[in-house]
Amino acid sequence: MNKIEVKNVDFFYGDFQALKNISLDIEANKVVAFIGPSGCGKSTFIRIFNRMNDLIPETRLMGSVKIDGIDIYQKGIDVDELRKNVGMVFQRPNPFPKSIFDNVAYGLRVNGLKDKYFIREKVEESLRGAALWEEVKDKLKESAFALSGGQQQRLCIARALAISPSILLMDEPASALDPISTAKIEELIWELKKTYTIVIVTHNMQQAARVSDKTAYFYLGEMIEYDDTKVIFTHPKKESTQNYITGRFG
Amino acid sequence: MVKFIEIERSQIKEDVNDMFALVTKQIEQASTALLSMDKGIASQVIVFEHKVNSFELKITKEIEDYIALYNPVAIDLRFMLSMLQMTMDLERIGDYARSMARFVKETEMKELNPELVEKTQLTKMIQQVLAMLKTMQVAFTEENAELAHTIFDKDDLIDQIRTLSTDILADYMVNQTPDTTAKICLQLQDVFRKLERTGDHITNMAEEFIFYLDAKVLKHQKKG
Repeated sequence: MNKIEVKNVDFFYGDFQALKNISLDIEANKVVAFIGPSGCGKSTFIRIFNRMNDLIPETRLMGSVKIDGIDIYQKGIDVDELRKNVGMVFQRPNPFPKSIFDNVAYGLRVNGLKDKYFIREKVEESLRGAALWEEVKDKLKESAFALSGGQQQRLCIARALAISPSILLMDEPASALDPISTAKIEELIWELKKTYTIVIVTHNMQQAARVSDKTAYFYLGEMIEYDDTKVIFTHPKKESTQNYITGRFG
Repeated sequence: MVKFIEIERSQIKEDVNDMFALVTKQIEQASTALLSMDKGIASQVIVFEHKVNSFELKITKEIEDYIALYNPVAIDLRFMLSMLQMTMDLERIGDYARSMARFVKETEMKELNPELVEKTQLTKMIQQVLAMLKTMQVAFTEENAELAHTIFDKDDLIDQIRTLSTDILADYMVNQTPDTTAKICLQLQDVFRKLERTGDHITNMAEEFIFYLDAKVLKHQKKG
């Protein structure tokens, strides 16, 4: 069974249709990249997987989105539970004004966990999972803001991992980072896919080519092409995809 | 595509086109030298060989820079890969022209035996090689994959002539008296081999060019 199954999804902001009849499947433990020019709908699309768009007034979705076979838009779905299962990392690192330790422990505490030993274990595990442990293990009580931008982004990934999701959504996770921090994030994505299914939105074509197994190209709310990343970047089937990835438009 | 990147891409194509013209001229001159045993023309071919090599170095550097700086993908990446391969093919063809010219320059033979030329179909083979080169250059200039496909059949005739030439030259060797005949026949056999390899390299170029245009890999496959 596919981890994520999207069928005939239309999405509207009021009268404006942002996504048009999108269908795609995502296998577990794969990295899928969404690419396309600004306004093509890729960020709207990634946010349907954790129902982040629900927070925007006058939006509506038609079609079905299933995670592990369950329609996440059906009545009775616990959105908090869904968001525990589908973690998200944003373009700019957004640590809380708390210590490094408390940032990672935050989600666990909010979910009612009180066992200090368990929380300490989980924080270490998450920081290791985000390839940050070695850099921060001696300063866990220091403010998260004392970290560099790249470290803050990995801290946000650790924070997402702490609540044990199975899917990670990343909306341009490295666009605000320097090349070395970007390389670390990309290496981390490669490691994380052993455990998680990852969906990444990126404007960086080479990043999509480097880190993803499959790539979907969006244009004006439509998914123009979805295929193995190697196919998309060597011989895409649609001229529009080729024009975009070769920089001829977009 | 960003204007300055487009300009660099066009420059590479222009340079490959110029190298193509030079190599075609080298084969033409080497063939003229061979058929007329003109040591003067042969010398010119040898002198111009370094120009072919310079083109190869220049184009290879341009492609290396383009890949490193602009990270081409899809049709642009295929273009760069095919230009790199075609440049190598052209350089080898240039080498063959020089080999033929060196034979003319160094042989003791004053003229080619007209009967032998006729029997071995040497002129026909040369004409076919030149026709293939010219067709390939037109296909290249016009980005015409259909025309590039026509190259494959043309190569069959070259292979055929070369195969037959072995027996004809062997017969000639056996039936001639001067001691030098054997050596000359072996050298001539090498000329046939070079012309045949030229045909193979033009075929390779057609495959590489079709890979660029249509993303189809034709190497090591039946072309029919």
